[in-house]
Amino acid sequence: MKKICFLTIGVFLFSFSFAQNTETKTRTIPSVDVQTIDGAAFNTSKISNDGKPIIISFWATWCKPCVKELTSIAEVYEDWQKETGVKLIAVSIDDARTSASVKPFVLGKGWSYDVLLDMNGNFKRALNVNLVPSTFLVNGKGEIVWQHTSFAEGGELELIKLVKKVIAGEAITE
Amino acid sequence: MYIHRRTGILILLICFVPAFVFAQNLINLGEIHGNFQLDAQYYNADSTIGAPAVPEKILSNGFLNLIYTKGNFSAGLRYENYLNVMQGFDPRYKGNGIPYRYASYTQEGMEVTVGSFYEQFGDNGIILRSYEERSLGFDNALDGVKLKYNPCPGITLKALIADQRFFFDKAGLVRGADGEFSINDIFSKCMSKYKTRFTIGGSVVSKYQKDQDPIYKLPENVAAFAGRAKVSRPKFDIRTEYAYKVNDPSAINNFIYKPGEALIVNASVYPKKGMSIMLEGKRIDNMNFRSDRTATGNALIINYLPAMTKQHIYSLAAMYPYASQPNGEMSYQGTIRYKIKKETMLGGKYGTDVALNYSCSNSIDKKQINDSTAIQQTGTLGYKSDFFKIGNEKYFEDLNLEVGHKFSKTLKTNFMFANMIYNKAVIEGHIGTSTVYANVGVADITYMIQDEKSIRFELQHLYTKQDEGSWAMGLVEYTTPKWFCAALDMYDYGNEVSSKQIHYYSVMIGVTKNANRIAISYGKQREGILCVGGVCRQVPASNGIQINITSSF
Amino acid sequence: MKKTLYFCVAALLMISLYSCDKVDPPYMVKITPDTSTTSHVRKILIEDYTGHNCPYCPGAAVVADSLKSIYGNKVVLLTIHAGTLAYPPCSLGGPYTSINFQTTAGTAYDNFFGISAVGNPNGMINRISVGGSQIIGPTSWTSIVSTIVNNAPDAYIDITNTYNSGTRALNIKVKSEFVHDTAGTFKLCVLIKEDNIHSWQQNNNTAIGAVPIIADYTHHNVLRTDVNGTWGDTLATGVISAGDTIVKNYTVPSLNASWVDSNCSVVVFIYDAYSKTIIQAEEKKIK
Repeated sequence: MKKICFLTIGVFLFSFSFAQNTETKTRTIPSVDVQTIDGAAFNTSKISNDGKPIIISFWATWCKPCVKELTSIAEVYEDWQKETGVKLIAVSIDDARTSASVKPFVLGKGWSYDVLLDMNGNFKRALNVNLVPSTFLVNGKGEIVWQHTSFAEGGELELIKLVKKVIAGEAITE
Repeated sequence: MYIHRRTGILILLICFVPAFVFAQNLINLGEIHGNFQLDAQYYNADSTIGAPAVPEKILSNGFLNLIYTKGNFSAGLRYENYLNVMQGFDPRYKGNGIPYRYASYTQEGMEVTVGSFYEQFGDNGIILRSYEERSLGFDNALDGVKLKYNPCPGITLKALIADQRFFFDKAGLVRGADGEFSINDIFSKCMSKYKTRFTIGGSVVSKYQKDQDPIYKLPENVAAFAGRAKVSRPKFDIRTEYAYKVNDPSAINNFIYKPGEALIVNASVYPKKGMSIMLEGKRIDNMNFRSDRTATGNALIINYLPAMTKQHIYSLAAMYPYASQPNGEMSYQGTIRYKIKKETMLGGKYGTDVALNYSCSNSIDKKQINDSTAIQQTGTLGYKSDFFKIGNEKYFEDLNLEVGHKFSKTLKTNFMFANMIYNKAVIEGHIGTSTVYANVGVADITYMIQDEKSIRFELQHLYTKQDEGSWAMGLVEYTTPKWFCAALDMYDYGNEVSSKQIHYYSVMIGVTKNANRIAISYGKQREGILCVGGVCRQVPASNGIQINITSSF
Repeated sequence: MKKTLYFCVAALLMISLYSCDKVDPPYMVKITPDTSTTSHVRKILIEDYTGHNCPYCPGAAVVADSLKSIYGNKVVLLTIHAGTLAYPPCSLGGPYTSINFQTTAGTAYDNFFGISAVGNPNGMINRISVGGSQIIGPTSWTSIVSTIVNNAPDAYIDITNTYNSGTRALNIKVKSEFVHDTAGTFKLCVLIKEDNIHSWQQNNNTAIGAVPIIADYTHHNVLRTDVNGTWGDTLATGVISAGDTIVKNYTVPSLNASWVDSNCSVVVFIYDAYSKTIIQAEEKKIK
């Protein structure tokens, strides 16, 4: 009898710990209507990169650290793409006042990112973003595995390390 | 093998448990995510800067957002806490509660939302925009029912009926419908090769408010209509929107019965990579549109009238921000951006970013409707105004040049010069104050010490003979990926009154870990106006410690 | 399902398009001013918190005066100078001398309700709460007064003033009568206000007067003092029956010498001690 009790408890605990381990953060990109930089309607559920990782970065033309982050990444983006195939989607939260200046701004800086316009903050709210810059790392299966706010010079080095981890299938523990 | 009955049942249960737990993971129970924000300040009275004594000593604003999603269904709420509300925010934010809660369901191109929601019609929101801007304490969320429907690719239809948030209460009654048609997607078969995208749209919004006024015959239903068109090519974009509002006498326009009109045009060209030119113009004539005709300040606004000026990042340049004038304004703005290529003389090793911007806002031309009626006289049609004529009174002007250059892997710089004219009497409502003419210069230098550690210096100078005189500002900021600290001083050295030549200094330190951030700052803050878009709030001077916490999960 | 939705959207669109009222002139109607003098009607106290360094405040006084001309007897006006914009020196400098209309009671009300902290001009209508706040801007006074002015009264107040011009002694007899059965704690506040005080006032509206200062502005209904304490004294408490009448007597030994007695009036109001809402107000000239 005692043996069976022990067995029951053991199996129970095992199942629970098993459940916890398989209970990974399967958070997917919420489905929200935004616009492409050309003004076409776009739903965020269509964000994909053929099974390769995606970086979603929330920014605004008036946010200095955001522009710094995207400028720093722009300098190494081509290399990143060659190495890892990662795609960076820059979501601009510029509202009706400055949204018309996003495309001129991006083209004036010579960035080659995919830029989306989230004019009324719908996507920002759906992802619970409080401050910009806010960056999310999405793995090949479309799951959000990491998020970060604010930017320090050289922070892009940290980011590419995480992208490589995602490609290697490692879990991100920070 | 003989198995005792009790043992048998136990063995069955043992086998069942992992299956049950495993099944739980297969049956997705949905996810909950959210964010949290807390801003709190401890106030010291300081008569030298005019900081009032705060009896509660500590004031705070707290927010918690939760969103639950499971498949096509989502629900969320926001809990807000003002115990008591911080200085500079509307004191009607009192106590705590859940002013925002909703449930939403999507299926086959149809989306239904019940409860609180935010929405914008068109790219400008000129007849309807409900949004949240927490730093201003602005939230005009709509609360009711919203339907969104995509009958076929390229057509988006929206309809809503709701009342509006008024602090922790609700007021007004708003109904609206919007249709947007992307011609290329509707006729995708014949237009698939077109490089040009055409989009047209139209919206109508109507509000209801009972007429209980003893003097004026007030319209209970007021409608506003808007039509828009957009043409987009790889090297060229143009978009325009026109809005018309039927008679809407209100406290803001002194109860005149003139219809309101607005026209916004934006055009941009991209001659080559690294270069862009943008021109825009705006006319606003009597476009205050609120759920309550007697409301003033930031309460119960239905539409959004964007300020057509550059949003300055540097604090001295942002000292005199423009605010849209709903009763009438003619504005235009032009921006040229150019990236000087690398390996050229001016471009240096990495290239140089240049941005030249000019914006100007004037009054509209107003003429009397007849000899016996003064302009904007209450209970009349108000005035006549030539649609394309610019009025005589200048509200705002800003000419600025920004140059960004990276000297080496470790040294990045940004310089900004601005010349501004600010009609303080009209923009802040202080009749009798003189217009401010200011020149601003900024040098922003970042030096990377190590791999991920950098130090940034900011030097700013504002020269003016009006208002509080000239200012000088210095800032030092040290940033690492995990934490940062900064110290800054704004010195009003040019003030005519020597006792007001004060140093407004502050120090701050903050920690960031993933999506969490805590920052503490201490020092003196000058009183000012914080403007986002065309909406502003007065912030009184303060002295004390402030803590800001944000977290996202 | 899809057709129903198409229909709903179209219907909403139709409703919105038709819900549009275009008003034809004349836009203002001639109001027959209420000249009745019966004292047994609901009387509303309109408090206007102001200061002579407040340029927008003359506009609020215009609204208050127009309400008095429309509703006559049914409104009682009170102007209270309190807050930073009521501090004596003129903020524009110049030859304008210091004057001070601040009072202990007025400053106490302003601090308690936080009115000047929100800004001036602002006021209260019977100290009722609208949208969670008792502070009501002048643009909303007319619409709020019009919603409550025809409600049946909760109490009647009769004031009898006995004034001796020689000694400037004033005796005030206040008779309060409750109209309905009620319960709670009610307090009675007795104040003195002076009308037609000539002094300067900052102004930014050319339609009202000189900008930026009106040198000879007529200040109306200025609160001068309280008679029975800032918050008054208790009138009735506990269970109150319809018809309950309480008579109270107050004495002012000598009216301040600088006040013009023929312009002074006594203002009385009954309020709920807990919510501070005023249930009835009354005014009477002292002479």
